[in-house]
Amino acid sequence: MKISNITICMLLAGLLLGGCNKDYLNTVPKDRLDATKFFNTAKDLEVYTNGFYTQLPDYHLYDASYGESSDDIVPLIAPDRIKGTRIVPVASGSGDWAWSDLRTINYFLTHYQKCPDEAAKLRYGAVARFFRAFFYYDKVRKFGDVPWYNKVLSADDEDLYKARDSRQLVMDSVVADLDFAIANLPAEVKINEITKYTALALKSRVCLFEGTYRKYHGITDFEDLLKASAEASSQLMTESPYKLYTKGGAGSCYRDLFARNDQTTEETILAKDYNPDFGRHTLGYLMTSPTSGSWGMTQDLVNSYLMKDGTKFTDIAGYDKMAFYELMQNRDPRLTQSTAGPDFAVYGTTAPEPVSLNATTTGYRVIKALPGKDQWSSSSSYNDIIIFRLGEVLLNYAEAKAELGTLTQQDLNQSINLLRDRVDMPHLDLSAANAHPDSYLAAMYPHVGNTANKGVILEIRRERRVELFDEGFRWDDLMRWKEGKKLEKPMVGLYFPHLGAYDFTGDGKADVYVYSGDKSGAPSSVTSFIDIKQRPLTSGQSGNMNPFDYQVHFDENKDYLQPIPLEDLKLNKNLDQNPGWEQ
Amino acid sequence: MQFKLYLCSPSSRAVLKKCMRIMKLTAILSLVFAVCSYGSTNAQKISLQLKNSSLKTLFQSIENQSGYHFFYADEDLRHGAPLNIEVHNMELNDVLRTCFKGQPFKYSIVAKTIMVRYDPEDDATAAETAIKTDTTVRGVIKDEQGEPLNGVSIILKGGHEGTTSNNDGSFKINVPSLSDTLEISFVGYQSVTLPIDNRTLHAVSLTAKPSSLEELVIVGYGTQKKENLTTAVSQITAKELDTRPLPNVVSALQGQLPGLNIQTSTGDPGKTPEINVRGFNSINGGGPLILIDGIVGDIDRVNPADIETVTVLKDAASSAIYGARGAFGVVLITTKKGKAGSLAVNYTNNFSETTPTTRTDFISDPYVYGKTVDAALTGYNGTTYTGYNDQDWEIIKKVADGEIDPYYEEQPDGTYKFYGNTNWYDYLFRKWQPGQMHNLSLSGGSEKLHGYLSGRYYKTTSIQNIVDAPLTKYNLKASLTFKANKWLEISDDIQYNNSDQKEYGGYRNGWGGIWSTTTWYNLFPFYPSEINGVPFDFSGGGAQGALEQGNNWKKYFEEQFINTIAAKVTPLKGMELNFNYSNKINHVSNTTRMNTFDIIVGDRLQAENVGVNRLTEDRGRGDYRAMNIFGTYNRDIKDHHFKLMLGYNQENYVSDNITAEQGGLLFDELANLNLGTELLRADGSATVWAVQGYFGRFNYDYKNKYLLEVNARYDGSSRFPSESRWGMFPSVSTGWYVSRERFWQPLKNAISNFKLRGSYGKLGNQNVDLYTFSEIMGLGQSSWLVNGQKINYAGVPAPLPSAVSWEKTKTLDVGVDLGFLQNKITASFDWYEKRTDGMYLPGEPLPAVFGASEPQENIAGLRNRGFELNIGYHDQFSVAGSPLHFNASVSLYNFKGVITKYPNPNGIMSNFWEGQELGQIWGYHIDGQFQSDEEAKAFQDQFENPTKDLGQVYKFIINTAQNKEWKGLKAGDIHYVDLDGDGSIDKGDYTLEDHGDIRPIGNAMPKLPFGFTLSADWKNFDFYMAGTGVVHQDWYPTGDIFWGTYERPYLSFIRKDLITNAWTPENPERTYPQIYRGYTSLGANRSLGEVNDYYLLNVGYLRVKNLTLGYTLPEKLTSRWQIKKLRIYFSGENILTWRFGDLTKYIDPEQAGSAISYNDPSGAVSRARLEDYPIGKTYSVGINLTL
Repeated sequence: MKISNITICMLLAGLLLGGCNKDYLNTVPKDRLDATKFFNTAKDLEVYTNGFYTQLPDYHLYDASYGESSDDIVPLIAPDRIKGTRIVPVASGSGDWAWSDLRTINYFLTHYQKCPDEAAKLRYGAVARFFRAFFYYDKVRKFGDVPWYNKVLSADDEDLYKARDSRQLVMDSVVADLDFAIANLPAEVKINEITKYTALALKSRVCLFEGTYRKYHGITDFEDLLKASAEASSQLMTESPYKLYTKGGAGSCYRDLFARNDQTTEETILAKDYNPDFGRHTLGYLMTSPTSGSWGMTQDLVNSYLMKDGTKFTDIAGYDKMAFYELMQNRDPRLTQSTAGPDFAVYGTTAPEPVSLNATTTGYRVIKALPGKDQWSSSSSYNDIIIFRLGEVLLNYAEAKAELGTLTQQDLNQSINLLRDRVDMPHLDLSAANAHPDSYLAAMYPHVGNTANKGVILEIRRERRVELFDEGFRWDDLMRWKEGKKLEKPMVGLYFPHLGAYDFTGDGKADVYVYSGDKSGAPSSVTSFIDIKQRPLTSGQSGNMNPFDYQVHFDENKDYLQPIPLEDLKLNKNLDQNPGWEQ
Repeated sequence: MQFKLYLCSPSSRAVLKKCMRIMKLTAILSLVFAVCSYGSTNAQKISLQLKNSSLKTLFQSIENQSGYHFFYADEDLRHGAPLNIEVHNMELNDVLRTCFKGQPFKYSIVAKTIMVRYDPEDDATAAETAIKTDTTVRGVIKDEQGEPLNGVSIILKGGHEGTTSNNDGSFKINVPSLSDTLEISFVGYQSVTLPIDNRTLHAVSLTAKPSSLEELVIVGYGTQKKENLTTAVSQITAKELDTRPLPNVVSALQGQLPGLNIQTSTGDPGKTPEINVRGFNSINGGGPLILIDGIVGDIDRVNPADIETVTVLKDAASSAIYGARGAFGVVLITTKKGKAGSLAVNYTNNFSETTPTTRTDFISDPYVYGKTVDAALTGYNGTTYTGYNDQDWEIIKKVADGEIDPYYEEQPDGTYKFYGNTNWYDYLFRKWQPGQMHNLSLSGGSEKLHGYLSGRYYKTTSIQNIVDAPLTKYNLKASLTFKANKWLEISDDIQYNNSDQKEYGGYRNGWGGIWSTTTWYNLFPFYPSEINGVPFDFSGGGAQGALEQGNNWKKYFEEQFINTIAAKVTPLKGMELNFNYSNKINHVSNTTRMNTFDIIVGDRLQAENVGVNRLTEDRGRGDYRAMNIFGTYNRDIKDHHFKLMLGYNQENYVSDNITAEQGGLLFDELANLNLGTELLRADGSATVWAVQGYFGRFNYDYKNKYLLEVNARYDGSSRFPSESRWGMFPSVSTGWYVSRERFWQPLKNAISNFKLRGSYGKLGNQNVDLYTFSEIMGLGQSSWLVNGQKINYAGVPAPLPSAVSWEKTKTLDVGVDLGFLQNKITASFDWYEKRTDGMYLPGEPLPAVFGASEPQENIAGLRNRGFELNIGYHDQFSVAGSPLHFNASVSLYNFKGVITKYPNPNGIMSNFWEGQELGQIWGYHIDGQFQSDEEAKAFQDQFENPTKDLGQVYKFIINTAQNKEWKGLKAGDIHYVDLDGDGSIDKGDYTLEDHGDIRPIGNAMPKLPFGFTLSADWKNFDFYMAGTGVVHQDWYPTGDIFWGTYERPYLSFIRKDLITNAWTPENPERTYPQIYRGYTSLGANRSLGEVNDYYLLNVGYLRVKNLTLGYTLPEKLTSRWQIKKLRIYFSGENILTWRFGDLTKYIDPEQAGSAISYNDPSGAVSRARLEDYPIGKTYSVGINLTL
C-alpha cells in the first residue's frame, strides 16, 4: 500500500500543481498592442496616423471605370453612373456608404489627448482632421446631407439612428477641420505625406466644389466658400515653393509629368507611390487591354483642344468631318500627350508604334499616365499616381475668382497662363474670352449664366477639362456645374467619311481599313481593321465610331446624388433616401 | 485471443488413465470416461427407461430430452453392447457415466455435443491396425454457445486437402497420417491448429474473434470493450493503410468510417484533405480535434504504417471527455508500440505512377483553337487577338494538318506572325508522375524492455513538366517501454518527421505558379514555345522562361519533433494511474526565391530580361506542451461492474514567426538573405494560448446487459476573459444489450446481437479568435509608401464584445447495433441531432455609420441532424477446395444543417437567416435556349427597359458587349424566366420577402455520402477494395475549365467537349450558347454566371479509391531465404470513377464537390473554380517483407 500511497500523493500533487497555477490561462498577446497602453508618445501618434493614408485614392482615381468615369473616356465596359443605370444598393455600408474610415479617425481624436507631447498632439491631430475633412468631403460630394459624427459610436449610442445633418453644417465642420490642419501642419515639401500644403490644396478643392455646387444648384452661401477656395489657392501659389513641371519642354513635359515612374516635388504636392517591389497597379493594362480596358477619348473632348495658335478647332469649317491625321495637326501639344497621335511612340521609346485600334473604343488611345510597355500587363504598372498638384490649384484659383466675378487678367496670368506657357500655348485673354463666348462650349454648358464672365468661365472649363484629363475630376465638375445633361450627349469617337483604307501616320501607307463584313482588298500595310458590322459608325457606312451605342438618361432630380443602401434605411428609420431614389 | 480446444490436455489424460486402471481393477466394466470440464452446462435432468437397447437408441432419447447432440462414427457403435437402464431425473453427467459403464468408448462433452469415440484401450495391436487402416478423421465444430458452425474450413497442414463443415458442424477428412495436423479456420473466429494426435474423432469449439464484440475500442483516456460501448464511436484498425501509395493517411480514411467526411479538393500531394465529423457544427467553422497518442497532432504528419487504430468519437457523450474542444468530434489515432518477443522486421515498399483522373486533351489544334477564341472575342468587341487574316488561317490549318512545318515570319511593318503548333498542356504538365515509398520497422525485446523503431521515406514528383519539383517526406519513430517492476511501467516515444516540397513558377513581375494566370491565359497553340532556344511568350508574362530557367521557386519545409514520456502505475488490483507529458516542436521554413530570366516577347520578338530578384524567408516555430494525469479504477461486485476514471489535462502553445525579404541578391544561383542588397521586409508574429481541464468518467454495467456511462469535463481556456473562462461539459449515455436477455434466446439464431444505445451531452467550442476580449490594435505595414518604403501603422481596435464565452453544442444520439446469423452480418445505425447555441457572431445589425462590424456576441444557433448506417458482412466459402475469406462493409450517412437562430430581422439573403437550410442553392429558372434570333429578340422586346429589367442576368449581352452584331439576345442564348411576372428578371430586394425570380433549385451539400470496402483472401492471394462516393450533390459550374471561352476567350486550355456542344442552327439542341458568346460566364449579372437550373449539375459519383491485389509467396519457398513472409502487391488509387450526373470528363466530381467546406457553413454554397492541381489516379506495385 505504501507504493500506491506515494503514487496517489504524486497524482494529487500533480493535480494541485496544475490547478494552483492560476495564471496558466492568463496568456498575454505577444505580437499585438493593447489600446490602453498606447497614445503616449509622438511616435504612437505618428504610427496611428500612418494608418490613415490608405484612405486616400489609389490608381482607380485615373481609372475610367471607377474614379475617372465620365464623358471624357469610353472604356470597353462603361460604368453604370455614366449610363444612368445605377441602382439602389442593398447591403448595409455598400455603394460608398461605408463609415469605417471615420471610426478609425474619430478613435484617434478621442484618445490622442492623453499624450503629454503638446506639439505632437497638434501636428498629428491636424493630420487626423485633414483626413476627417477628406472623408466628409467625399460623403457630401456623393450623398449631399450626411450625419456628422465627431466621436466613436458605441453599439448602444442613440446617435446611430439620427437623421442627416445638412450639408451646410457638415461643410462648416469640414472647413474648420481644414483650417485646423492648415494652422498646425508643418510647411514642408513632402510628396507622400500630409503637410500644410496638402491641406491648402484640399481646401482649395473642397471649397471650390461646394461653392460652385451651391451656386449652380441654388443653395445659398456659396460666395464665402469660393472666396475661401481662392484664398487657399492663392496662399499655396504664393507661399509654397511649388512650380509647374517643365522638364523636357513643351513637346513632352506634360506627358512625362504623369507617365514617369517616380513623382518629384516640383509640381506634385501629394502622390501615391508605386514601385516594383511593394506595390504595382494595373492602369497600363486597363488602358491598353483589348478585353478589359481599351479606353478611348471622346470626340467632343478631342474637339475641345485648341489649335496651337490658340484659335478654336471647332471654328474650322468641317472640323466635325476631319480625318485622323488632319485633325491631329497643329493642336494644343497636350492633345498628343494625352492621346496617341500620328507619331505615337510608347513612353520611353522613340520608334513609332504601329496603329492599333483594337486597344481603343473610339480610335483615340489614352496615353496620359500610360507608362512604358513593360508595365502594360496586368498589375505591372508602377508610375506614381498624382493626388494633388499645383496645376489643379491654379485652375481652382481662376475658376473661383471667375465665378465670384472678381477675376482679373493678372489672376489669369498667375494661374491658367502658367499652364499655357508650359506647353507653349498663347495666353488666355480675359476680355477677348468674355467678348466672344465660345458657342461650342456654351452649348455644352448651358447652365453658365449670361454674366460678364461667361466667356472666361467657359474657357476656364475648357482648360480644366484639357489639363486635368483623366485625373478624376470630370464627373465632379459636371455635377457641381449642374451639367449632368451633358452625359446625354453622344459619346462618339473618330470620324470615318467612308469605308476603305486610311493613312493615320502620314507616311502615305494605309494603316487602318474600314469595311463591312468582307475585308479582302485591304492594303498589306494595314495594321488595324474595323468591321462596321461589329464596330458601328454613327451613319452606317460613314460617321463617328460609336462604341457607346446607348442613350443615356440623366435625371436632373435624382442623379446628382447617390442612393443610400436599402438595409441602412431599414436599420435607421430616421434616414431618408435621396430624392428620386425612393422605391 | 484464447481458443478453447476441448480435448483432454496431457495432464488430465494421465489422470484419466490412472482412473481407468482403477476401474479395470474393479473388473466390472472397462468404461472409460473423460470429461474435460465445463460441467455447469450439463446440469440437465434426464429420465430414461431402456431395455436391451442399442447405443443409438440411447443417444436419441438423450438428444430428445436434453438438446445435446451425440457425435460418433456409425461403425464404431458396432463395438458397443446393448444396454438396460432406468434413471429418473438424473444429471446428464451421471446418466452418461452410467450408460458408458462397461462400454469400450470414451466420451467427452464439448459445447452441447457429446462426442463418443471407440477406445479399445488394452488391445494395442488392434488399435495399431485401426490407425493404419482408418485414415478418415471426423469432427464436429461448434461455437462457444454450442451452435454448430457450417462452412468452417479444415485443411491438412502443409498439404492441399481440405474440406468444410456441414450444416450440423460435422466434417470428414482423409489424412495420410494420424500424426498430421489440421488447420481450422472460420471467418470471425480464431483459427485453430489441431494436431490429430492419433485420434479419428474431434470436437472443436471455435472462439469468436474479438473483432465482433470483445474488441477494444479506443476512447478518450482509455479503452472500452466494443460490447460495452454506449456512444457513437467508429474505429478501424489501419491494416490496409500502410501499403497504399499515399503521402498521408487522410485520403485512406475516406469512405472508411461513417460520419467522417474527407474532402479532397486538390491533387497536390503536399496538401492534406479536409477532415470533418458529422457535417456542420458552427457558423464560425472548425474541424475535429485530432489526437495522436493522446496529444493534439497533425494527421498528415503521421507515418501511415505506424498507425494502429483510427477512432472517431462522434457524439457528445464520447467526446465530452475533451470538453471545450470536442464539439466538432474527435479523431483518435494510436500508433504502434513494441511487443516483447524476438525481433520482427518489416519492410514495405511501393513504386507508383500518377496520372490525372480527368481528361487533359484540351484543344491543341492551332487552327481549331484560333478560330474558337477569335469567334469568342469577336462576339464581344468585334476584334480578335491575333489580327490574323484568312490567308494566315489557311497556313495555320496546313500546319495543324502537318502539311507544312511550323514557322514564323516577319511582316513588312517589322512585326511577326506565327504559324506554330504547340501543345501547351503537354509542354507544361506531365502525363505521369513517378513516386516511391519505403517503410522499415523493427519491433521486439524482453518483457522488461521492448521497443519499436520505424522509418519511412516517401517521394513524389509534381505534375509540372519542365523542372523536377519533388516532394519528399521522412518519418522516424522510436518507442521504448521499460517495465521497472510489478507496478511501474515507463515508456518514451519519439517521433521526427519532415516534409520538403519544392514548387517552380515565375512571372515577369514576381511570383506566378503553374495554376495562375501566367499559364492559364494567353498560351495559343500557334505560338512557338521557344525561338532560337529562348522561351517565347507572346503576352510576356514569362512563365515558360522562369520554368525553363528554373530559378524562380518556392520551398516549403516543415519538420516536427515530438517526445512523449509516460508512466503507468498499477498500485492496486483494478487501479491504473497514468501520467504523460509531451513536447511537440514544429518548425516551418518556407523560402521564396524569385529571379530574373530571359524571354522573347511580343510580335516583334523582343528579347527581355524580366522578373524580380528577391528572396523571402519565412521561419516559424511552434512549441506545444501537454500534460495528462489520469487514473482508472475497476471494481466488480458480483454482476455489477464499476469503472471510474478521473484526470487532469493542461496544454499550452506558443508560436513565433519571422519573415524577412531581401532584394537585389548578388548571386542568381543562391538563396540566402546575406546576399541581399536591399532589405525589403522584416516582420514577425506570435501566438499563445492555453487550456486546462478536469475530467472524469464513470461506467457501470449490470451483467453486461444494462450499461451506463457518465462523462464530464470542467474546462478553461485562455481565449475567454476570466469571468467566463470556465465551462462544465457533462454527458450521459446508456445501453441495453437486448440480445442478452433470456427472452431473446428464441431469436438468437436469426438476430445474434442486438444492442440499443442512447446518449446526450453538452460540449463547448472554443474556436473563437484569440484576444477578442481586449482592445487589441492591429499592427501592420501599410500599402501606402513613403519615399518607396512601406510605413508601419497601428489600427483601430474592433469594438469590444459585450460578453464572450463558449459556443455550446448539445448532441442527442440514439443508436442500435445488430448482428445476424452468428454476426456474419452486422449493422449499426445512429441517428443524431446536434444543436449548437451561442455561436459567436456579430450581433444585431447596426447602421453602417457604426463604422465597424457589429460587436460579436454568443447569439446564433444551428441544428444539424443526420444518420449513419454501417453494414458489415463477413463470411467464407470454399472455392476450389480452399477457403475464400470474405469481408464487405458499406456505410451510408447523411446530415442536414439548419440555422435555428440568427439576428437577421429583415431576412436579408446575403446573410444567414433562421430556417435556412445550409447548402441550399438559389437560382433562376431557364426555359431552354432561344432557337432563333427572332425568338430571342421578341423575348427581349417584351421588356419595357431591357437594359434595366434584364440587367441582372443579361447585363453582358445587352449592355456590355461591344460588337453591335452580338449586342442583344440571339439564338442559342439561354432563356431566363420571369417567374414572378413583374416585368423584370432579378433578385428583387434579395430578401426572403422579395427574392424576385430566384428560388431554391438544389443543394450544394452532398446528399448521402457513402463508402464501401471489400476484402477477400484465397490461398496466397489477397484482394482489397475501398470506395467512396456521394449519391447526389448539386454544383453550379464556375471557372475556366468548365466554361472555357465563355469565361475568357484567351484561355490557354479549352476543353474539346465544350465547343462541340455549342449551339448552332444545324444542331439546335445543344447545351451552350453560340461560341461567339465570350465572357458570358465571367461573374455576376452575366447569363452563364448567374446561378440557374439549366447548368446545375449533379456531381454525385462513385469512386474506387483503392484496389489492392496481393500474392504471398509460399512459405516453403521463402523460408529457405529466412524470410517469414514475402508478399508482392499491386495497388491502384482512384482507378475507377462513375459520374452520376452529366459532369464533363474534364472535371473530377470529387474535386468539384469539395468546393464547399463542411467545416465552414458560410461557404456551403461556394463554388470551385478548379484551376488547380488535378486529382490523380495512381498505379503502384510493391512488396511487404517480414523477417
